[in-house]
Amino acid sequence: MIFNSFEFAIFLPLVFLGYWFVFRKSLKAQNIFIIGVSYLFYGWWDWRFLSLIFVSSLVDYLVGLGLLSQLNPTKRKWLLATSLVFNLGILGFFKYYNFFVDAFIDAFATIGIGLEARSLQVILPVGISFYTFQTLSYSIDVYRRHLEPTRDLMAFMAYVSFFPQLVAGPIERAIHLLPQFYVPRKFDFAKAQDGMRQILWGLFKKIVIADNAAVLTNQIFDNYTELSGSTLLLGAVYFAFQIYCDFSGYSDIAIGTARLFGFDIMRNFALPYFSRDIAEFWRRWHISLSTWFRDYLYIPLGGSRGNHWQKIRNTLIVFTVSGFWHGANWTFVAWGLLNGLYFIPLMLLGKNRKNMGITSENCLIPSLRESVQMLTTFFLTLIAWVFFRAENIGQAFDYLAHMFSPEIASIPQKLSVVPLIVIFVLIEWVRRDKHHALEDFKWPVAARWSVYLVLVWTIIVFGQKEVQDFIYFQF
Amino acid sequence: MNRFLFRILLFSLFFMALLVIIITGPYDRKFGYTYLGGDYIKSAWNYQRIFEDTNRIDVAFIGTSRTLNGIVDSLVAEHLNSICTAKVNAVNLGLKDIGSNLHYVVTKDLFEQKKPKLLVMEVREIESNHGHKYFSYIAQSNDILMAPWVINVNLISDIKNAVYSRAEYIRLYTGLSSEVPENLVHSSVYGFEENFESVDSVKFDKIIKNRNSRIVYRLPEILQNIGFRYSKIYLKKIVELANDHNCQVVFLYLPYHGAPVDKPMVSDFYQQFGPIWMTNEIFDQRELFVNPTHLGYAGAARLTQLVADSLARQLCPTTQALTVHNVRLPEIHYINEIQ
Repeated sequence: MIFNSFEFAIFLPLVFLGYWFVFRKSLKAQNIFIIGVSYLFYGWWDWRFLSLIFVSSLVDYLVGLGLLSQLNPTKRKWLLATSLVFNLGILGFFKYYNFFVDAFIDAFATIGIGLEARSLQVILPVGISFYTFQTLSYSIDVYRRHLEPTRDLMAFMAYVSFFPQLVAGPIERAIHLLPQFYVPRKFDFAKAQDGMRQILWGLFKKIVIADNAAVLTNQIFDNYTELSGSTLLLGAVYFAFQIYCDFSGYSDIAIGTARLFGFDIMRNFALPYFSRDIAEFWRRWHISLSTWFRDYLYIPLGGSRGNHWQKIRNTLIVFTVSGFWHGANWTFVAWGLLNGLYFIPLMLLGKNRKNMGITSENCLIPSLRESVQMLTTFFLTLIAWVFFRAENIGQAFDYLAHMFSPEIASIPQKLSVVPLIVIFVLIEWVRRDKHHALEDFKWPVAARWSVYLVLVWTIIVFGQKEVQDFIYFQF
Repeated sequence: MNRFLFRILLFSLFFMALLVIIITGPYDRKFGYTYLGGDYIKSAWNYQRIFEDTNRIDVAFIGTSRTLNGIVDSLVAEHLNSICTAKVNAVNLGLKDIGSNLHYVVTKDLFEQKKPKLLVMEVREIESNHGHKYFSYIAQSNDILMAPWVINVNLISDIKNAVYSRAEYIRLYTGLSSEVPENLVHSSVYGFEENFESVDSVKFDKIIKNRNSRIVYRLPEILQNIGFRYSKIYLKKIVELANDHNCQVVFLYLPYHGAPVDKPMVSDFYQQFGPIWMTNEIFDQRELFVNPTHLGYAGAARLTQLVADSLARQLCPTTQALTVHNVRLPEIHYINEIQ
């Protein structure tokens, strides 16, 4: 089931009541209850893939126990390799099998050799990219001795399957989330209240902004050859907000939901479109994934040590793999590579850690310089998003070619969602020092509740009739 | 925890109040009638015929697709006008899918806009235990909010659809909706639609078998009454409306071919309010059907002939102007006995 569905609206209160009223007295029972409801949540899509999560959890749990007792470095490496091969193996099979088969066939076709297609009808299990990375982080941290392996199977399975972040992250580290399953949770009014506010804000972003932007994005991208350059630019803007509000909205709902149950989950988005350079953008966008790649790929490759070529190599590898993680299509690889190319100059010039704080802190209006920086960074990400959204590389280039036509200066069509986006950006700008727009909301009660009801009204009135899936479910 | 739950409860009350505000907020009935489109494009036609067409409606046929595909209102009008001294306008307002709540809404609009003399209500072998899925799109706000709560299996979906339809109207008004209702301009004053959804013989028999195996036929009467309660409430409301407007109601029995009963299971209920016109001789003939539940054109024409004959006797005695004879028979009235 998805967060913005009627089923979840029934599911969440029932789970909340069961968690705090029925199973409160026993930590083990509470963890088992979490496992049960999380499996129910996941199985709602497709019960057949529950076995995959179960086996994945079991493999890494056993690998952890093995690493606990094993001191021999070679054998420890073999245990880690087991976890890596298993997790990346299932990810590779379910996500990339057909891609590689088709790419193989295409490659041979270019030299005149025709091969018979043996693609399988492989269904992509929802969330596989997220929970495999989550369990991998556990194995790697245990191997590195950053984390004591757990003997508590129920706590570990609850950590892996925890429903708020199971299917689309944030990709939580075991170091941060797993210990929260060892201790009894106490109901915290302030945490739960803020959790509800974050859920509301997440729903607003997803249903009002993302889903409405999606309708126009699809119309523009489906008919891009017939539209003006300015409309295509607007289409790219719509997609930028669609993917941001869709994904960050999901993360907000996940984090808010977790808080209802007494858990803290890492922040996943920190207002990335207010970034002043690409490096800052990547510190603010999909934080859980970018830090995962930093800690488990970039740094082991050497990170920023070594000569320029090594740094460039490491950076390009990480961004390319990050793009590939998103899906089995060359467009995602191109998107990742392009972002890597954006990043490299900053890194080589030592300017990739320049903008670390809140944009225009304590100022309502940004300076001209900051405005130019933000718009430039946003524009660069727009170009990259065209690749992300396009069906293939050819279409992406064609879209850009049509976009950068003389008509780019004309008045665009399909402006209906622009007012919503402008209002949204203004709200996020004014509240940019908070984790979410409704955090620490100190207005009088009547005014606060009026805001909540207005948000609910907008969600109801401006939501699309058909429930739209979250984009990142396909990853 | 108590403080948190209290706030959630309080917010829920505000939320429900907000839903009521949305449901009772600005809404265009034409939008509701015309929004559905597709298989329900007839709804847009109904709106135009009731609200925008200035011609009278003397006889209205209300029902489901069985009526829609079974009564050729142009033939009814032709027959009546050949007999009656005054012109009689007969209109088929049938709409796909079952639901007396929707029939009530349409009838209510009909009485507000026109002054029909006779209402011919479709009845079936069994009554429905649920409402029409698009009731909330067409109904006025007070009809949605005052709908029965008890044994209303559509309660939540009706509220959801009511909110969606009003929200969709606001979205259209603000330019955010990508779905624009079809702007139908009807070219005919008649509402009959021919059914072309024929099935082969094997499927024909399978459908009959599935329908006949429905558990409702084996339930004791008391449980049937519980299930039919929702529909009966709306049927009563329709009859009350008709009485308030001096309009007679007759029930036209339109079963599916091969139905296991030869009269409606709640015929006693219907007979409190008006006669039931039976048409067994039509519905026993398989060759008149395209599928078990819908007549083909030949079948529709035969049925229409029988109905038109009865209407003529009721509405237009040859030497008098258009009046309605108050014919209320205590028993089932067989059309084919009238010569």
